[in-house]
Amino acid sequence: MPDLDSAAAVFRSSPEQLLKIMNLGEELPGAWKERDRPQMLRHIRTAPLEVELRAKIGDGDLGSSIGIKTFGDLFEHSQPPLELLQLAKDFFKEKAGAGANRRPEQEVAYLLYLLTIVTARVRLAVSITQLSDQELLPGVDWALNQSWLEESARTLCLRAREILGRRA
Amino acid sequence: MMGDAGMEILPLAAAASSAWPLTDWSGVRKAAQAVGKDSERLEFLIRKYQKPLKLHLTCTFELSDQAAEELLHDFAQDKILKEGWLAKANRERGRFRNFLKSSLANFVRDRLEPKANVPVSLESLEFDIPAEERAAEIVDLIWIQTILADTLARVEQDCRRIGKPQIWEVFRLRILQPIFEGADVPDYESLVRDLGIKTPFQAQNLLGTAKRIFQRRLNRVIGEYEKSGAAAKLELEDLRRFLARAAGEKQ
Repeated sequence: MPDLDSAAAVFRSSPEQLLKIMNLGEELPGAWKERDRPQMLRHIRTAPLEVELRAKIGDGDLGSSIGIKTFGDLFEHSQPPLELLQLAKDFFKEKAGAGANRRPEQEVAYLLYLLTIVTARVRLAVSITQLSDQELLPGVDWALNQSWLEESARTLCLRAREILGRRA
Repeated sequence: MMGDAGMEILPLAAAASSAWPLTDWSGVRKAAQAVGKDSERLEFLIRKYQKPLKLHLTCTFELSDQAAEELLHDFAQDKILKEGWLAKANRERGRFRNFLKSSLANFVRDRLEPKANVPVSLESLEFDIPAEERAAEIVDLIWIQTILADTLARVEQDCRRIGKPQIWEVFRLRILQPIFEGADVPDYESLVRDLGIKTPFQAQNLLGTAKRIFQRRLNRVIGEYEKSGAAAKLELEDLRRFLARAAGEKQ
């Protein structure tokens, strides 16, 4: 990647460009775009659980003994460990932030938060959330409406919708 | 290298990029060191901002580059040795930047004052107000460019010094280059692969860290000449307003 002589670039810059730089500390312009979401989702699904969850579980088993190494493995496993799903749920909930005006990477986190709940429901028939089925449905519908939702996750969400819809 | 009171004296990248020949400042620096800490700070500031200050002189007095440089050098030496000037600067209301410019202009006016018995033409007393204002805007623009060039250089240096060059690389590729060069933002996948970033949250953390380092450094660069926190904050707002006005006028 070509390097940047930032001093030379600054001295060539217009007032508009300088203003954007000057305001960087106030707000970070949207560094990630909506078009980045499918790549971000793919990236986190293939990321080792170790990277994000080790600090929370200490020496505990992160699922490697049953072949779970990545977040994708966690969602695909037929019997994912409940504790691990709960850990992942809390992690993604924190990254998702509040509902209003989520940035693209926060939307990815929110979708993954929903996926952990849906996985527990579909694979283990267990609820790991305090949300009622009725409260959960809009979230699942939102996930299903995202064009960047991968096929395997879509299947899981559809199954969850059936279950939640019946009980709601 | 560290100056007194922990003030980092970093290489003056911005000034060094000037095409103008640099006067030998070693004598001025020695005088400043002999006088003390405040004078060293003044000498550092005048050297650092010599590009906009020289431009201020060439535009205001129609001087050659060489003449402007020599006068700036003499001004620095004069003020460094003059007891109480910097204290007066600190006490004056308004921006240190403007105080420095007006003090410099007054110094040069005194130097250029016509000798007695030499007739002064009326035309020479006419000031082109719009041209002066335009010159003042250009000077302030270069002053801001000097601040930002220094800030970004320090951000890059900080990232490398703490062993986290990834912070600078993400900042450069996703934020700076698109602003400076109108470059397409590299796609997420190639960025994380090339920089070995493991998760999107790690990538976001890197950018958040870059932002904090940038803000800290920007405040520090401004704090070098506007000593109090409140004054530095006002100066930053002032500079932003200037850029917003200049950007609006261009549209």
